[in-house]
Formats: sequence, C-alpha cells, structure tokens
Amino acid sequence: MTVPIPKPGTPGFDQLVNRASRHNGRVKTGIPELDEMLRGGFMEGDAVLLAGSAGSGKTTLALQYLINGIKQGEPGVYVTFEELPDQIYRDAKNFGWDLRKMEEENKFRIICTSPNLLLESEGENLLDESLKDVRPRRIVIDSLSHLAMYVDKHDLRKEAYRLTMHLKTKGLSSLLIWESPQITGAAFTDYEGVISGSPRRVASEKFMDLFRRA
Amino acid sequence: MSNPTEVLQELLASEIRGDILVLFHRNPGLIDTLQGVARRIGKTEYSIEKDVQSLVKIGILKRKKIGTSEVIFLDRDRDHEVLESVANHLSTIRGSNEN
Amino acid sequence: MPGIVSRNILIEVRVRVMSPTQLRKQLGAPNPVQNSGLGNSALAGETEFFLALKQSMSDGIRDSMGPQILSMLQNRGFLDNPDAANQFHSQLSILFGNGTSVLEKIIIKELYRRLNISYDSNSQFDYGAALVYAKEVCSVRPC
Repeated sequence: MTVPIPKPGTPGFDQLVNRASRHNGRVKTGIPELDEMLRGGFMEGDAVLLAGSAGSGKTTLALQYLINGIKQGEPGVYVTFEELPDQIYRDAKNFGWDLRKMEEENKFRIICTSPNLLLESEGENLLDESLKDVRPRRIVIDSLSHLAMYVDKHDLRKEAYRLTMHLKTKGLSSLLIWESPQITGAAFTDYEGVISGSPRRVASEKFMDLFRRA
Repeated sequence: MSNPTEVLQELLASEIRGDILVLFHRNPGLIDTLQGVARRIGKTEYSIEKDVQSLVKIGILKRKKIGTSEVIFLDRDRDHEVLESVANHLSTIRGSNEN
Repeated sequence: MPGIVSRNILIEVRVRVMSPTQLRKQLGAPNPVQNSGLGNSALAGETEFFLALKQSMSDGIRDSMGPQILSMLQNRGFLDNPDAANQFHSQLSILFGNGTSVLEKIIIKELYRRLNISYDSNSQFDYGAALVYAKEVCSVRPC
C-alpha cells in the first residue's frame, strides 16, 4: 500500500487542519460521559486504538461512535474482517439501529473482507470505492488483531502505520479495534489515543458502564 | 442482455446462483475472492465460477484486481436497477387466479 | 365451642361452592399452563413451524429477488397460505418458470436453518415433501 504523507501546504494536510478548526478540533463520540472524559471527543483526523478483551463491548462502542456521527451529519464506514454484515445488522437492530436503512441513504457502509486483501492493495485501496460512495468522516477497523494474523510480528507496526496514514490522508477520524487483555507496548505508539477496557479494572468498569447507559 | 425475461432466467438458472444472490444481498458490503465466496456458500471455486461469471455479465457483481488477487463484490446500483426492472416486468404478468 | 365450629364450617362451604377457576380469579392468580402432554407440544410445534415458514418465505424471496418482488408477491396474496405448498408452487411457476425450484430451495434452506434441521442439497427436491418433513420434525421435538 503506497501512501503519501501529507505535508504542510498540500491539499490533504490543509483539509485536515481546516476540519479540525471548524469543529473545535473534536469529534464527539456521542456518549456524553466519554466525551467529557475526552474533553469534547477525539481529535479530528486522529487514529484511536480501542483495546479490550472479548465481550468487553468494543464493537458496540465502535458502532455507537459511527451512529452518533451519522446523527451529526458525518457518514461512517465499518470495516469487519470476521463478522458478516448480516450478523452486525441483526445485532444493531437490538439497539434500535437500522443500519440497512442508513446504507440505503448512503450514510453508512459495512465492508466485510479479508485482512490479506486489504494489505495487498497497491495504489487504489480496497476501501476506496466505498469511500467514494459514502464520503465518510469516520471509520472503524474491526480489528487490527485480525490484521496481525496476516503479517509478520515485526511488520505489524509498519502495516498498522500504513493503514492509519492512508485513512488520515482521506481525512478520516478512525477507531481501530484491538482484541487483547492488554496492549503490546511499542507497536501502538503511533496512535494518538488509546482506550482500554478491561472488566477487571475499576477505571475500565466505569468506562464499560458509560456506553451501557448511553 | 436487457430483456427482463432473459435476465430473470439467468438470475435463477441454478441453486448456486440463488445462493450467491442471497449471500451478497444479505451482505452487500462483502468483498472477497472467488475462493472466499465459494467457501461461504459451501461450494468449491470451480463449481461457482460459471455462475459468478453470469452474474458479472448481468452487472450485479463486479470483479476487480487487488494486488495479486481478484475480488468480487456487489454493484449496489446495478443490482437495484436489475431487480427493479425484473419486478416491473413481473407485475405485468397476470396469475391464473387473477383472471 | 359453637363459635369455632361455625367458623370452620363457613370456610368449608366457601371452598365447596367455588370452582378452582373461580377461586383463582378471585384471588387474582393466573390460570395454570395446561400440561396435557403430547397434544399441546404438537400444537406449539405447529405454531412455531408456521411462524418460521412465514418468515422464511419472506426472507428467502427478499434476499434473493429483492424487496420489490417480495412486496409484489405479498400484494398478490402468494404468501397468505404458507401451508398450501401446491398452490404456492403453481403461483410461483406462472411468474418464475424454471426458476421456481431455485426460489423454493432458498425458502427451504432458510426454514431448515431456523428450525435447526440439516438440509441435504444432494437429495431430490420436492417443495411440498420438504415442508411436510419439517412440520413432522417440529411436532416431535422443540425447534
């Protein structure tokens, strides 16, 4: 995946800066207590890693992030490597979210593909067609853990960097999911923010409780 | 192939074609290789090739080269167009209990 | 002691006069679930089968041919009698010709998935027979 890094003065860079200043530089998650903890939300254009063990609610929070973005006029894309869209539509319905309808209205897309296909993209990325259709402002990648299965341990950081940089050049505020009881050190120093939810920690319990109630 | 009758015959020409339609209509965002699609419907790559090709010819599915792989995905607009034209055609056909 | 004897007799009479249903109603207790064995189990199975079939028909048609065609068939009453396999087959044949069996297979696969019955795509297919089999399975075990 060849990805240019935006330099000051280039359209990609200017786009990012302009958007950031327009919205006070913050992208609200729509979960009030979380936005309060984040002093208004994520920084626009940032790549945020959402880590947690299985069943800790990462997918639900990620979907909520996208749904709340749609309510604020910001289309979103959800990229999944494991669950089929059909299952996600059904699960979302339990929360009262009609994702199919949002797709028909071109406010949302679920992309289901294999990590190796995403990694193989050269020049035009696999996601680009969907990005053209919907023109999203937010994206979720579910999950980096799946991507990690297809790369050598030493290349994971490089590939994760390539992916996040590609998403940044598209002006996207991204949320990347990592399934693990704990984050593995240096591989994730490239992320502006890390939210970790583990049911065992008191701070995380509060975090978990936030989006259960939202 | 613009004749709706021919299109309908092609869409429902085989069980495999029906399975592929159901797979992509339930999962419109699916992007996968021929092998991946075959695995998802419990068939082999070889056994679905002809049916996939037919759906690509109708325009409902699209093929694209990604790196060293070739992927298949749904063309949502064309799919909507085709099914709408088939629906319009079928609505003109009267059933025996409606005469 | 006359007072106590009178009280006992009074209670006894009240129990005799009221039927269990009346007493339950007065006390505001719900009617108990009838547990008459195989009869009710078969009825429950039939209801579950009917609901699963209805849902499978609409999902199968919608997911293969799209919501417009599903609407059209519903408006024509094709899905009103899910149990009437022969009628459904005739109605579909007028519209879909040779494609009818493909649609029927899609419906049956969806029905069998819902009812947790394994589907054998290699065996000879008959829509009516497939429905009868599924109904029988539902009548003897929870689906």
